[in-house]
Amino acid sequence: MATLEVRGLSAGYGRARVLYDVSFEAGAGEVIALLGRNGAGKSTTLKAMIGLVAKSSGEVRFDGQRIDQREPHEIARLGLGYVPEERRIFTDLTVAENLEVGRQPPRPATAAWSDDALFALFPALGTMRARRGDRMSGGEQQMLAIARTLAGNPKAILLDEPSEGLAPIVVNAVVKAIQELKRAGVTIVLAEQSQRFAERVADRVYRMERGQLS
Amino acid sequence: MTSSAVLLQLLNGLAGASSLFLVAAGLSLIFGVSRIVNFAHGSLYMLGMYVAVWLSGRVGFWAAVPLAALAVAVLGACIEASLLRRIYRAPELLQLLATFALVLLARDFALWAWGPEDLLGPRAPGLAGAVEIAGQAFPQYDLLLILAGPLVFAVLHFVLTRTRWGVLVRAATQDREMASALGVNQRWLFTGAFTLGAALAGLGGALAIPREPASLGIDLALISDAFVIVVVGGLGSIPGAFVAALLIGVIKAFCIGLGYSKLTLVAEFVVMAIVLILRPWGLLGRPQAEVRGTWTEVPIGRLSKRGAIAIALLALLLVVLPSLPDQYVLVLATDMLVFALFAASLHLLMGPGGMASFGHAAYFGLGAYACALAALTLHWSTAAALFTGWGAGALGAAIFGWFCVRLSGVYLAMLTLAFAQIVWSTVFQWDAVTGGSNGLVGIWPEEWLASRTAYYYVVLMVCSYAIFLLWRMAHTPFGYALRASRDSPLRASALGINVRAKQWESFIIAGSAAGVAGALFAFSKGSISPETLSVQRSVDGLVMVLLGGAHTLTGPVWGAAAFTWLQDTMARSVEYWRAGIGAVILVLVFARWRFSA
Amino acid sequence: MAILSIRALAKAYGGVKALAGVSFDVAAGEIVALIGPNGAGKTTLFNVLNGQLAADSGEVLLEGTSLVGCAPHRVARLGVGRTFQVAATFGSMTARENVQVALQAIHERHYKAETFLERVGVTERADTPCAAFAYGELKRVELAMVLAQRPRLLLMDEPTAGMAPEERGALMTLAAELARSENIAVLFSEHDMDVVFGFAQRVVALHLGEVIAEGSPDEVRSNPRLREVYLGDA
Repeated sequence: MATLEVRGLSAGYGRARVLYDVSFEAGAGEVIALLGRNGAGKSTTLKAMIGLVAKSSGEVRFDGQRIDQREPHEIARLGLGYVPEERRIFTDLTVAENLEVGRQPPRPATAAWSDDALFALFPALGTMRARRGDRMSGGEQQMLAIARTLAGNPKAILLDEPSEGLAPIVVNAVVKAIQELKRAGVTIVLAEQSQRFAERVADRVYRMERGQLS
Repeated sequence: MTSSAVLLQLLNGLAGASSLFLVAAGLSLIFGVSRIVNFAHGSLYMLGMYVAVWLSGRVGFWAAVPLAALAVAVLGACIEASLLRRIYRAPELLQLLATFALVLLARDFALWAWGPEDLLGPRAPGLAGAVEIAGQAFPQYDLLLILAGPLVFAVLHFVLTRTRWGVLVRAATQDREMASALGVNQRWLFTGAFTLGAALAGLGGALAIPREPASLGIDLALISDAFVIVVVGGLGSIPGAFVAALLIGVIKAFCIGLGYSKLTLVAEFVVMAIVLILRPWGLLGRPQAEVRGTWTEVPIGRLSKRGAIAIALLALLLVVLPSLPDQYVLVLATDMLVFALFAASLHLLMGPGGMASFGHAAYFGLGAYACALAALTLHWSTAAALFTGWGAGALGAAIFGWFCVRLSGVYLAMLTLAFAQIVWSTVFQWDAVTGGSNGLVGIWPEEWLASRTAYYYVVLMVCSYAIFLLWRMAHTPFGYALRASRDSPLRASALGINVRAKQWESFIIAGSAAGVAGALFAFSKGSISPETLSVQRSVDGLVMVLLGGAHTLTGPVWGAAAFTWLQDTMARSVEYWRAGIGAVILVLVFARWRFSA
Repeated sequence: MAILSIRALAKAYGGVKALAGVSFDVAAGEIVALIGPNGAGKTTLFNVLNGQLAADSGEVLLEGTSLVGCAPHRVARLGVGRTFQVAATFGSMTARENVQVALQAIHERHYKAETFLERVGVTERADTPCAAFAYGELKRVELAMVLAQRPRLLLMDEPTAGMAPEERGALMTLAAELARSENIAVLFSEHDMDVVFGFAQRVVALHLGEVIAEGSPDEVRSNPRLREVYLGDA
């Protein structure tokens, strides 16, 4: 059984339709990438999966369970994490506080991420626990955004353009982190513009264009 | 002023700032997470006072204070869970109206439970005396109050930074959507924030009883002060509320200390104006990113055939009305016409303008007072006095509107209310000119209009003509440009429309129409009092528009007629008519929201 | 002759440079595409051009007149039309009224709304409120409004975003024809490369607030730097 299963998903904002009948799946521990340019509908796909955008039709299953009617916080508590585009960390909060917001009790048969484990994954964060979000660089913010979601001990995560606007050296750190997560058995769905990045980390790549998978 | 007097005034100001801070902090906290401006926050403070006075007779003052705060907190939790939770996605205007309905219910509840007289609280045992500071006596209890503000600020700061709940509140205040995607259930945060905010208001009220008696009018006086503080400090920012409360509290105390107690309002106005010009989002606030859907974005229809027939019949009825035997009908009809114009003018702002004014009574009252003064003091002719009322409404709207159009949504609503409250207080305090709380009496039109029937015809002509002009405006280039600015300010300005200028003009037009209504009102009653421009009157206008429907041009006029009749009937036959109207508003809000959702 | 001249335009948010010295021209009747990854500064540039944002430094000239420091409604009256990423129309009004508002805003009495609705092909639904339009039609109404301004420069921010694939070509064909017949300078940002390479005469590529490539579609397509940061192997 696939960990994540998207069937015939259509969605949009108001009257602007963005997604047309999107279907794909990700197996347990698999890393898949939705590759396409901006405006292709990758972010909307991820947002519709986590419940931030209302779907107009189709269904989303997580561990076999329908989640497309649920609220975002319920979906997150089932163990599906989301790292948004442009990171959206809480800039008024410190690193430790950002992690606290994402914190959820550990769930069985899923890797548990203590603070120490998170700081081992992103050593840079460990040295700036008391720093406020708005005093961090883009790369540090990206690491925090991923760490914050991992603090919820997710079984699968949706990563929206993790390499966007980052210096190559930071991109390498993100690649390393994704590989580390894969080793820990986390299922990952990645939205990406850069083919090179997608090929470095993903097991399979779906191409997306104009709101459709091709 | 000697340095010791300065010190004393400073301390006085700090003592006053503490209760202001408690209320404003709660208001800000609630707004931060739920995006609801709780109009009833002053009422929670008032209830805190009454409960504390009542309890201190039974369990003593020091036990009564925390118990009163607790009681108000429980009430707050019930209100959130039973009412507000249902309207979190509703337009701001509906939310504000719902919380205003709570103001009315709380007011009548206090009236029922504790009667109309002010209740004197006890002195605080152990702190009833005075200490000598710089050679002058200063109440010991006020020192406690001075400490209470920073103390509560410190506790709040601790809760918000050191507890998981506080961290979640701050996260949700910044980005609700992201917090929910991380598994944070907002419902509990909302209930918690509302409960804590209510507790702060209750505590503020309870702590105030040794200083001032519990009274029914304190709710609105306090909420408008709190609005000023929150607008100055920045909505959603608790440090902002603290800084602004200190600033305003100290400025107020100095104005009083210098012997210019009437200057306090001007000073408040000036501070607010400066802050809004320099930092429209308040000293420590940040711009409001979220724009909620409005329900006004519906075409304004032209008059249907049925509507035209109804209006023609109504006109005929209004013309023959004076020949009916019952003369009371004429009194009621005059009121209905005046308020129809008032509601239609408010509708120009709310409907086509898309700006919810919570202080429209200011222009109505300015018109009424200017007209009355022209007739009484200057002995001008009735016509000249009516024109003066028109001018006063327009001028007031021009000044206040200039600031208001720089804001939008809930900020704009709060600012209009704050302005209206400043006008109200000025009228209330300026005994020499306005007659203070007694108002002005003996405002009668000239001889030839002295009969009720003659004056009725004048009101009928002026109001129907003015309403006609307001209606026609919707389909003029100005009306289109105004609606365009409401539907999409971005698009409107990209087409070359000066959005702010159009909105300002609409303020002036609406203000002048309300001024005319006020002037007509003054002559029809023969006397006016600060009641004429109270917050209650502003909200009456909103309810009229809401009752009739903001989508149509004719709706507000029907709404005004129905509401005037309802209020007249209720006020004459039901003791607790305010609560009745509050209940009507709540029903309306929920019906409208359910209907549109 | 250049209708729009941008010179060393810079804008920073906090420490982040959204525009770091951008310069290029758009000539009358020319259609120029602005491309680049998200965060490259495209929308910032549009917002500076139409007066919604103030630039930190640099110059924007419309036929020699400086637009720096002008409010959006002033810029519009000087002859700049703009369509938005999410079509912005007046939902409470009919298509006809929408265009009438545009005409009234510039005190135009000579032209009729019908003229412009005809050009974009929405005459049949001219008296339907915009709230009832499908998104593709809404985009057309928006275009009609902008044309009614009779601009010298037309800015289109992701004109085909949110449209069904088959509608995209039609809208751009329409825009291109109109631009040519009215001799309007057009600058549009776009992520759909079929649209970019199908309609632009010249392409300007932005990355991290700087122009990294400029030239004919073919020249830009083969630019190695751009392939690295944006186009990939597509």
